[in-house]
Amino acid sequence: MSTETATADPTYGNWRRPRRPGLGPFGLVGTIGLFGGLVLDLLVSLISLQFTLVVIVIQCTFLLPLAVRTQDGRNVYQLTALRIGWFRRKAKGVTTYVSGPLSQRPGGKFRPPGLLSRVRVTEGRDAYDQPFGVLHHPSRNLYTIVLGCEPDGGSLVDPDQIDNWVAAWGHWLARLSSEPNLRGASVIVETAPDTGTRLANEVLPRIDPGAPAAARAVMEEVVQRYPTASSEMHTYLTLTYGMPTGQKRKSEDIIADLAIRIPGLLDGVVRAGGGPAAPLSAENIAEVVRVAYDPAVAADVLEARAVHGGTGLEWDDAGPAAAIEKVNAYQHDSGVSRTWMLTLAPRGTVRAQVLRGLLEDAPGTRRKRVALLYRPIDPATSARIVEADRRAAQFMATSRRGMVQARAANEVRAAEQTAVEEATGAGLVEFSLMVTVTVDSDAELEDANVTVRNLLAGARLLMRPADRMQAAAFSCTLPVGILPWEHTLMPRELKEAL
Amino acid sequence: MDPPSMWRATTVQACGLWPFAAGSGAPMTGVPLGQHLYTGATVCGDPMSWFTRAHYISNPSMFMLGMPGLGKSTLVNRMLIGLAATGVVPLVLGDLKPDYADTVRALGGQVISIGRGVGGVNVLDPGAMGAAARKIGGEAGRVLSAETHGRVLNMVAALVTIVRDRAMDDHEQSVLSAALHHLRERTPPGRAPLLPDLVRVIAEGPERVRAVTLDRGEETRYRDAVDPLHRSLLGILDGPLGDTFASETSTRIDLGSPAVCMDISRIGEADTQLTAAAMLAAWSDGLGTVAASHALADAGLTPRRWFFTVLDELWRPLRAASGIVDRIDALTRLNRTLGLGDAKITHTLKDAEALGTDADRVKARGFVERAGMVVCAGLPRQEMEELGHIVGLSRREIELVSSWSSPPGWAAQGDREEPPGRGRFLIKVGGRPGIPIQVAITDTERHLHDTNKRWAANKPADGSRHVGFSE
Repeated sequence: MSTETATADPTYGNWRRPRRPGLGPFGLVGTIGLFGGLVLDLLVSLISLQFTLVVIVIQCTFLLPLAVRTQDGRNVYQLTALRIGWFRRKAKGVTTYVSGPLSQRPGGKFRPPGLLSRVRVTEGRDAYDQPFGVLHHPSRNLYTIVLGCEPDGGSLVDPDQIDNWVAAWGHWLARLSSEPNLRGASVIVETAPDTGTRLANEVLPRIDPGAPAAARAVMEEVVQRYPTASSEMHTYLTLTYGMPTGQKRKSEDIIADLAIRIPGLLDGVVRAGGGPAAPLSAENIAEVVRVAYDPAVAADVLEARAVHGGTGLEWDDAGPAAAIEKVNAYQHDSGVSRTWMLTLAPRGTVRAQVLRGLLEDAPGTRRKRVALLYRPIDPATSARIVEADRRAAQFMATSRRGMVQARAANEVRAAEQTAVEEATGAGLVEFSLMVTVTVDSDAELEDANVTVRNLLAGARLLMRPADRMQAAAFSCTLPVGILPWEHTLMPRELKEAL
Repeated sequence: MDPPSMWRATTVQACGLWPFAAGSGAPMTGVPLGQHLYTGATVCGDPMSWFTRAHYISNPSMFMLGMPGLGKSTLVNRMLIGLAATGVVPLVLGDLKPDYADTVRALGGQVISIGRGVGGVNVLDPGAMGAAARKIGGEAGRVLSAETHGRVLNMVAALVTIVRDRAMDDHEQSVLSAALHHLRERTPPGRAPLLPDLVRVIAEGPERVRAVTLDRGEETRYRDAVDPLHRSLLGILDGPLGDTFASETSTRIDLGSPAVCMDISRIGEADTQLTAAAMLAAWSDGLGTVAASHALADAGLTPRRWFFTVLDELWRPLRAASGIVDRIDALTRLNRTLGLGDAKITHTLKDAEALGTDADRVKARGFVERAGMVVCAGLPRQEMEELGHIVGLSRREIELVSSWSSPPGWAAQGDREEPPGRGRFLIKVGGRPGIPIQVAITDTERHLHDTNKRWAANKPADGSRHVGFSE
């Protein structure tokens, strides 16, 4: 907790899981069920004692699974629903995706699968007349823009500069809460081994026809050998906007509206240490998605960009030709991927460089994407939440005695700190993290598993594989603005109550 | 789907999971140098490309500092090779070690040795500039020819200065100038005058030379005026510089050569006069060649070529003669107009402190300030702190670079251990965070360049383990 802002190397922490309403692990529905059950039991006991026992047993069988929860707060019903969903999808055969002219899908295009299948992409121009792609998710009527940036990294920068950058990143996040209609944002850092195409395109065309043979030989050797040791890294930011309910707006208006916001957003990213930033065009977005599904074409995409100035790839052709979803892996064109989802945020306090190891290139993987997902909470709701948390903490601290006191006092302090920070202008944000690792074959997945576990240990995070929903999780770490909480079976509010 | 668990925090805390902690940017313009130490990205760069194509820097120059034996000249050799591949001509004007002769030879370039009994320079030879002036002809040729005259005059004056260890008087300069004019008119075209010819002219005292001495027809007055100069020139001929500068130029710089190296490594380190003179002569000749090439290109007679000069072991020429500081100083200010990129290499900033006069010290310090690109190999902490005052280094950068100059653990086993900083460099451009790189050399280069050659004799026969990095 960065209570002492004056210290040279500030630490961060005090993140907490949103409190569930209701009694203990039961959640709101469970609590209502519990009390309703008790009332029912009393009424029934007036009629027959044996019958009451039966009713109590039935109630227990229904309520107990609600109380049993995993580390990240999922109860038995949710786990069962996931499994049922998986078996149903498997039975229907939707775990296998085939596209292209020879498939049964209409249009003969290679459309991206799953959550992306209905996405439409248009393009607008921002204030600097740069083209930017807009992804429209018709199912929830969401619009996404994607920004790309090139941070310098904090490795060789003084702590006070990093502190400034991190603080500016905090401002950027706070700004998101007041951004009208913003539903969520994500930062996706993608690393991959260098394909060598960029180097080859930098060096080889520039070799003078009359250059000495030795110089040519050394340069060719370099172009051939360097990529094996090199890696490349891309950073994308996505912002997903929703439409206020009941409003019908034309998509040109929406694009114009988004275009106005881009310069300010870019400016904030630059100030937060993001380095030079620019929006991604529709073609760039399609390229990123295409390469994610088919890592083998990464070199070709770069080649086409360098030689012809662009690939001309369209969204409708950015998907895989075939993809198979398995329980713990997702197989697509030339790669196999596994995605992990956040269970526990780093315990205690961390320094701003905590994610560095996780974000940097991981040897032995074909591609790795780390997605930080943010759900900004609007200022009014933030204030309400903060006050509620504070009251709850106070209540807990004053209602108990003895050993619990210390922990409760801690709780109170944390809640107070959050309240102070919120009152002095900070926003409230919910965040999560997902990691996707792509390797060449199933056999390498186990190694990737170990690699990820090591990386997570370094970042003090706890994550679990997104088993039985690998395909959906894969698309969440793509820079296309899929917000996992918007795509749940139950509406989010109801789910929270559970 | 089942979403990942969400955590809630204020933005003041949530920003602690900072997504930009790992850098993704690495310059990809120029000669490939190696890998970024942290991200593993390939880093490309050289002063010429960063100035002309990427516009990262405002003048095509580089200043490199670092302790001996950490691979500075290996990195510069890579730049030479990479630039030569793109058609830039590397010019090593005064290779003291020699670190670059092998590279230049491999590039099919010209290696000109200067030293007693090895090869000399005819300082009166108008060189490539004179030839270009004749070729261009007309007004442009006349201007170039006048400049050639000035260059020769400066060179002889510099030699006299070195022999006397003090500057020449103004009237002696005019005598020398008149004598040179006379000599040039007297010498048949196609043959370059020699230093003894100049002495003969002064001894003879033709009318034109006499006119500038105000001798008023009196022989004694003429002799009084020219005798000190006469004596100094004889001193050059018979003294330590004699056989190197009085003879015909053994090899002239070839304008069409893909690379040029003036190898002055045969001159002993203690022989400061000859070193200084040879450096100056090499510089005069080299810069004359650059000027000639550009003049020819301006006249449309040859395609435009760019040049890249290397000044390794900068401390030695700086100490050798006061005039060299001024030349380098002029070069650092004019390199953009000269069409010439340069790399200056030295060990530490203290090298500048050891110069003779305050004026020279200030000028030498200015080299680092004006360099577009500053590259550090391992340096002691105190050096880095001082450098930080000039180029602005963060504490982390200072720590990183100073860690490279200390040895690995004492317990390190055998011959596999390399100095920790070998092949590692920090590239600084303006206020941007430095780029730490690990240079990776190719097998071809490894054979080409090894300045630890003399240490290799007692090693096992297979030299494969022997590393190619060297000072």
